[in-house]
Amino acid sequence: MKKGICIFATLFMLVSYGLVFAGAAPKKGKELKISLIAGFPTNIGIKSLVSEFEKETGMKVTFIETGYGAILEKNLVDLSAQTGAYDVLHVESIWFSEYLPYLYPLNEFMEDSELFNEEEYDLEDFTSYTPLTMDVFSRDENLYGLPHLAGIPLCFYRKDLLDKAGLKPPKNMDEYYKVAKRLTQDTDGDGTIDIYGCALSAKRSAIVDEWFSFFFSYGGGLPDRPEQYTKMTFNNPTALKALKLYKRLYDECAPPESMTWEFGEVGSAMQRGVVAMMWNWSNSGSWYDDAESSTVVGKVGASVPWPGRFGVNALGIPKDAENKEGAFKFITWATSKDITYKVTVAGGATPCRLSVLTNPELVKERWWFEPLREAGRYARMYWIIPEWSAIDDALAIELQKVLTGDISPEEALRRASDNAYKILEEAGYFD
Amino acid sequence: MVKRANLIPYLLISFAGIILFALTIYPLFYSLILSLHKWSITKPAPWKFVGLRNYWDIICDLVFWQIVFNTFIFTFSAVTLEFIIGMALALLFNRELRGENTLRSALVLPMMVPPILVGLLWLFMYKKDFGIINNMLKLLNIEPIPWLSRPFTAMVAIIIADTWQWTPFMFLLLLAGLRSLPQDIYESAKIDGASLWQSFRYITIPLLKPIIAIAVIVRFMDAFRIFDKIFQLTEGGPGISTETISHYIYRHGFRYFNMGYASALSYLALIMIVLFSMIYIRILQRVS
Repeated sequence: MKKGICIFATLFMLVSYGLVFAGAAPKKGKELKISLIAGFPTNIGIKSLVSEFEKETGMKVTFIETGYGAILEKNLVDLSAQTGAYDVLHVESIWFSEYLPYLYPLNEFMEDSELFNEEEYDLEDFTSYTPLTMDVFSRDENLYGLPHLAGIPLCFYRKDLLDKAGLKPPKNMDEYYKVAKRLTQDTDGDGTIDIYGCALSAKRSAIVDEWFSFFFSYGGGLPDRPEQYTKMTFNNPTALKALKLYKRLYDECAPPESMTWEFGEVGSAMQRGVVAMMWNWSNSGSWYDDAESSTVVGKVGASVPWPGRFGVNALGIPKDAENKEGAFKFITWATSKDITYKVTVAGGATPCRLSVLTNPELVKERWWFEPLREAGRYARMYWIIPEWSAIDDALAIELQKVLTGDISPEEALRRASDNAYKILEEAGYFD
Repeated sequence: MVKRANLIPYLLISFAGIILFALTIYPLFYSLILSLHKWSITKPAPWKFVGLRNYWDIICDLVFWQIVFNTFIFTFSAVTLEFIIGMALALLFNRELRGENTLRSALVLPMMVPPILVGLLWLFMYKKDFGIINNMLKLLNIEPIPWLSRPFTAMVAIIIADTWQWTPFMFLLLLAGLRSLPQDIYESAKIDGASLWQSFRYITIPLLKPIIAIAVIVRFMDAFRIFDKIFQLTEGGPGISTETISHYIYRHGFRYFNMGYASALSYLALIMIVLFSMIYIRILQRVS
């Protein structure tokens, strides 16, 4: 009896394992596994339209969505172990260099006329918005990703509050401060501020992007290549001016909890009507007119008082993908003119194709498209190097210490510059 | 037949041995070797042997010591609070109470919640304009506090969240300990005229010492490795005021992808936990 049970249990285990592994094995050529960053507005559109692609190609598409904060490490661990877990990767521009060793160049597919119709696809539609769109994902004359959405930080402001105060939307950083200061108000006279002039994205993972807009707007910038970095790159009068203004905004015009805010939280503060202006990513534009969650429908406008980081996202193919050709078909489909338009309509995404960005019907409804198009002219990129995350963090730590009053702006920039230098030196950029 | 029967125990142990080797011993050695190398997952070049350089760099880094300090502040504060509240609750429950089972189940609920959700839960509770904690403070005419925006209050906020989650663990362990104590000693003490405090001080505490030691050491080792709540509530900020060792290891390993450096940090953290646990046990033994 016992022997029978043992044999049955062993067989049961073997069959179960067999079934599990059979289920996990990819059906080559028939299935596409797409890794997406969760929460992006493009996901809604792509997922709702994917049945068209499946019908056309006979492939089955599976989406694996992972949160922004966890996707990089999760994907890199899978890619370095060559698990073949994905056929398509959603690559944020700032992470491109981390992904690069694991990405497959798209050139060979793009040269195949059966797979790629250059005229119909229209690469110029991207570059005429800003050349950065394609530059970011190119290395050594190879292209590693096709862009599917882009975001640039805009200045979102409450039109009604500005009108009431007789103010115009800010055109530069100094005006931004002046307007923010004027609009910071205790409306009911109870001694507490009811509307703050601005919200800041001062969370550790967001503060650097925002501060860079200030730095860029005063004429600061990064040298073309990291090898040209000096300890003066962040430690100079322009950077100091930008940081002092940022500190004044935090002390005088922004909610103190801005220290823990980023993209979502500042957007929510605007929706709740507790801030008059803010620096935020263009992707948030549709939130403010969403009657279900916003109290400021029709009251928000956008302007471009600063140059911001060009946050472009692309779809790429990992080297260990089982179905590279199918993956290429998917990314050209998902980034095509037609689908980009449909995805934009369906999910409120901000496109990086000029034809969609300037589509009259869309521009009429989406008031932030026009400023977004203008912002493309001034958009910048940081160095796309694997060490950028460490440099970003080194800066963020010191910037936050300035806001809490732990150290002076001068000390913060000196420390941040030294730390960034150490990171680049360690990585061998000055050898 | 005899030989075959003798083999069975070895065969059974070998499964456990293989699993132990694959999941514990191999990764430990792998990370030890890795800690002597420079290697980044984003640059798939061969490992570069650097000897003890990673360890030396960490020891010379002032930020590391600030983070060690933060970790100890958090660990000692959280474990002490959890112990005091857990002991008070255990003493309260160590008597006839109406609805004891329901109350006890409710008390242990926080322990069942995944730490990352606890972080999220408290993140909303700490919100300045719509968080429940500041709303309560407003009712008491106290100005709302931006809990997570200031170095001191951010650390306090994390300690409170951890205490909320892990006090039930202390409570359960201490209650089990209290219920296992012999009652005749208390009766003798009562006849001899001992007060409640004297019974607690001279009977309960000495008899409960082994349980206290286990509860505190287990919580100490766990609290020392705190990650989820920091990740969710502050990301180690403002600045590095709430950065702890586990979050620092995560940053180096999975943000900057310096795997060798992160492995060396992990080993130093392990050494610290072992050292402090040993010191603690030694002190307890001496006191006993």
